[in-house]
Amino acid sequence: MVGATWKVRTDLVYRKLVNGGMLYDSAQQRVHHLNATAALVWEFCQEKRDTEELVVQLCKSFTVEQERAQRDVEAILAEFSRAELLQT
Amino acid sequence: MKPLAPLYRAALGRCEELADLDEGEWAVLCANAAGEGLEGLVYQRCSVAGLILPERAESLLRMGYRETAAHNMVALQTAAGDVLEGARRAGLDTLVIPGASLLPLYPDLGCRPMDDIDILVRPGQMDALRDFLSAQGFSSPLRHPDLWQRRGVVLDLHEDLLNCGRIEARRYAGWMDLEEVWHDSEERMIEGTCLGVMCRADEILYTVVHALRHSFRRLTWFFDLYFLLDGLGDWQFVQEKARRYHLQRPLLYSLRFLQERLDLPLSAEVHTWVEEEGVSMRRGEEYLLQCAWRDRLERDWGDLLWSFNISNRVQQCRFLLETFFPSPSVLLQVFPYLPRFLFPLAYALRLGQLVYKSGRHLTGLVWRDQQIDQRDN
Repeated sequence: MVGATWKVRTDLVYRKLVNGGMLYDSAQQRVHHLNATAALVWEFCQEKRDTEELVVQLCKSFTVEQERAQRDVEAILAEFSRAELLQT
Repeated sequence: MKPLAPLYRAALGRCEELADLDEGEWAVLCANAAGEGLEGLVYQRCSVAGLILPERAESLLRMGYRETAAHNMVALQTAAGDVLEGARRAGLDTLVIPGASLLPLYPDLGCRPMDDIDILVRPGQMDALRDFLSAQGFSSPLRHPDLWQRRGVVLDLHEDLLNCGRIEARRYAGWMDLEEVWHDSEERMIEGTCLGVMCRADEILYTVVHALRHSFRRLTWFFDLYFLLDGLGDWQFVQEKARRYHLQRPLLYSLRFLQERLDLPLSAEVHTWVEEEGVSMRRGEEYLLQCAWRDRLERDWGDLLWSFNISNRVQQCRFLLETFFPSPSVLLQVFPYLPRFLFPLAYALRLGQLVYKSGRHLTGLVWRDQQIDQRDN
């Protein structure tokens, strides 16, 4: 995943909520709830970022160590990918 | 502290006053919030205030908040984007009426639950809108030609406000002039789509009558009023409309509830109207209002209280008669599986319902009075 660039699907509707966010996929009629970290990653992905940039942003926003941020970002991106929320 | 006081405080964002609650008190607050449909608003307020909740309370409130947000998002995306925008392109005018129209006034989508989306349809366009909805895959349940649903999203169509069309005698107790409502309507962004809504003064009047008609059952209507008043520019306009539509009493009841039960300070001019310029209340009316507030979750005092808005005794009787025994087409909606030719039976069933309810009301009152007597002695 290192070096990969991520972009979210533009047909999904995103709404920020307290402590997270929510995505609506009208085609599938599904709502995805995001926790605070996933919501932040989603917001950064809207601007087309690579994994390193996402890790840096996450470290800044949550004041976590880089190693932990790297693990979280990769897990979240894998989850997004599994749920088919990202553009390929 | 009154049992609901911590809930009011949380929902109004006065979270610093909740820091001392123990786990048991939080459990009560969560149960009350769930019963009143305020879990989302409480969760949002507490989160923004940075209040650390007991784990169980946090989990329950968060779940309610997320469920509300998800339901509202699907309903509004469907109604706003797919249906109402499409209807507008097809030349059909609609107004989204409270509560869906009020969601943008709340902090976010998770803060106010709603069952269905009420839509006001331009007179003469109802049949065309029904055809349009049918073509969009919506369907209507038996004997409810104004209810349309698709995959859990329910639209309730109205051609008039305050149900004066269905129950004519309601007009004696106040009305809303449809031409004026359409003329004063404005646009509001609802879930990313610009849709027609009533002007804020009309939304206030609609909300207070709705709360009264449903015996003040849901606290969310008072929070609707709170958010509507919060951004209100012209109180004189509301007051003037209330006088013309003969809706001062319902307005007074709800404003007094905000002031006396939610302990919410009203703006100076609204406060002056409530205290000095509003309507003077009769003793029986005041007693019934206190009963309605106190028993709002168990009893239906709303229509009886609303009848105080009619000074002519004959009209008052007609109002009550038509409200409790409406026309066969309206009454058969209450008993959808009763064959149409057996409609007189619907009146007998209705009478039975009323006798049962009145009996419960009276026993409740006597029982309560006895308890008060025992306590005072």
